[in-house]
Amino acid sequence: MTQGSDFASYWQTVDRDLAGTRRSAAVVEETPLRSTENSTGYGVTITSLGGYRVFAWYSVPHGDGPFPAVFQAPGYGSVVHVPPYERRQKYVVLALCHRGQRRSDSPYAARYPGLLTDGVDDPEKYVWRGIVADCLAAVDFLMSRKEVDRKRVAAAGNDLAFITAGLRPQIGSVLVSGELLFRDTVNRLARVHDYPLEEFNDYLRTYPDRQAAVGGTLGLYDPLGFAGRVRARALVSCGAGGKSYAGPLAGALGRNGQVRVTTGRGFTDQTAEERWLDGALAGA
Amino acid sequence: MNVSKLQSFQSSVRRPPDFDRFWDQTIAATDAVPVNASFEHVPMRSTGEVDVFEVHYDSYEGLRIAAWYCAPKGKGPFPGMLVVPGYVSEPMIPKSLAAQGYAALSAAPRGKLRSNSVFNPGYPGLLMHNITDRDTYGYRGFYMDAMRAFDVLQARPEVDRSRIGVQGSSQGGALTLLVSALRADRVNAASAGAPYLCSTMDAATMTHSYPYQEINDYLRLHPADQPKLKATWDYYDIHNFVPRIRCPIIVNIGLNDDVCPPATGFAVFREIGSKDKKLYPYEDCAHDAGTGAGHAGVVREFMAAKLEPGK
Repeated sequence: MTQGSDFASYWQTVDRDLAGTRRSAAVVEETPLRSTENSTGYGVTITSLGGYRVFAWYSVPHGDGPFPAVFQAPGYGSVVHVPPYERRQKYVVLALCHRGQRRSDSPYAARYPGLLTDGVDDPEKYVWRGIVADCLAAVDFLMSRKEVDRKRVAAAGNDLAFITAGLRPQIGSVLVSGELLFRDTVNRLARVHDYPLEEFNDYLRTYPDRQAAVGGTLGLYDPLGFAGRVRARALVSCGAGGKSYAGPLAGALGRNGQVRVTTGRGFTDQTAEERWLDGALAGA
Repeated sequence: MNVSKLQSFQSSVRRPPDFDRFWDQTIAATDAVPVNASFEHVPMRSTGEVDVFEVHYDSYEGLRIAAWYCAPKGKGPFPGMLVVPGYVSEPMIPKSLAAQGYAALSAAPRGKLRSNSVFNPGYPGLLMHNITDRDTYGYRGFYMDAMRAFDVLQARPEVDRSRIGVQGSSQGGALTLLVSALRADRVNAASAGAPYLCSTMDAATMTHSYPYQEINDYLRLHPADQPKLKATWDYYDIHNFVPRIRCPIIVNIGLNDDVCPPATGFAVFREIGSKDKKLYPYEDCAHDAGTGAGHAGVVREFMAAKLEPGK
């Protein structure tokens, strides 16, 4: 994992390039079809790195704000759901479709499999550089909204939620769950045979001479490298088999970090995670 | 969780008098389209043990449909396994199934990324595409794409036609039931997880989770269309297909599933025609339906017992 000056410089440049991008105002359009009796739904288009326009689902509870907010970092897959009904009743929710995902797939349409390795041997060309920037642009949008209580903003998702919390320390809590794509990845690959991580094995089997370059790039994206910058409280939810590599994310945060080993029973685990989020946003 | 209440749920699905005729005509229209299956070897995704192929075939109304196919190295014959996808997920390459000894085909019905050049209703969107008209409803072709994927798999020379299974979860659970019904004389084992599209109009009243929430969203703006949606869904509801199923089959549901309400799972299970059927209800599970609580192993052992991949 890269934690030295290269790491700091790389992400400083991403943030600087994003800040230097001429960003036209976000387009916020009400979508009555995705509203509920207690919330109003919107489709938002945001300018990100390189002028790329990304879409996000945005939902605001009825009533007087400001409200606590949740940034739902995109998972791995072509589709980003409309945010869950229950969250929409309580929170401002922004669910981003990063570049390549449906609704943000012009001009770049991601391939599945293929997204994880697109440009992986060159960190400047790795597609995830733009994807992380998309997350930052989305959080910047969220923080600019008057209906958002900026002291009560959470990020939820996999690696991208944690990385975003590292690069946007205004985020006060982060719920990490789901499969981690970048945590200690190179060392895990020998034990992995399922997609999406199998994409890396496919790539390295095809281009064995690029092992070092791939390792260098992935080191820049290991969420553990961001832990020193995270100011949020964090719950890292992982299976027993994932504790060895997911656990250090929480450990690196000291008293702010907590690991929860999942039971394998989805209702129990989802309920515990949502309760933690509720508590974090209530008490921030 | 009151299990007896879930078990006592009675579906409102009705079987239209011309249900069989509608689907016989649809299948005949599909059969009239030459399959034109192509299998292109993909060296980058293949390994020393498994060959991976990118597959395309023609389906209902001539749409070109994609799939992934993985076969163990060697001549076979191998048992076949059709993997059918969930609502939003892109079908992954079934390499791990091939490593277990199956010749496995993972279908991407119309609307999925590699099959969406003509038909692309999006997500949300697929569930509602032309839903007020049974003849042009999006799932008509989608169902046929899944059925035809089975035919494409079955036609492979290295596949043992007497040992073919179907598996999937959520929408994949629905499609597993559908294919097992429409190809009842050819499917030898099936595993359906958290089946979607069962008692669909009832299910939408029991949840706020997508995809069923698409129906609630629509009806909030167009309440007068409810009878039209109900009329369409009586033709498409998986509930009406499953009495045809004859193969050994297992079904798993989560008793706290907010996506596919478990009551609808109990109801569809009762209707399955097979004598060799078993339901696995999992407490404290949601749409995972026990996959992380041991059911993945149950499926593996069930399929191994029925299809004998090492034979």
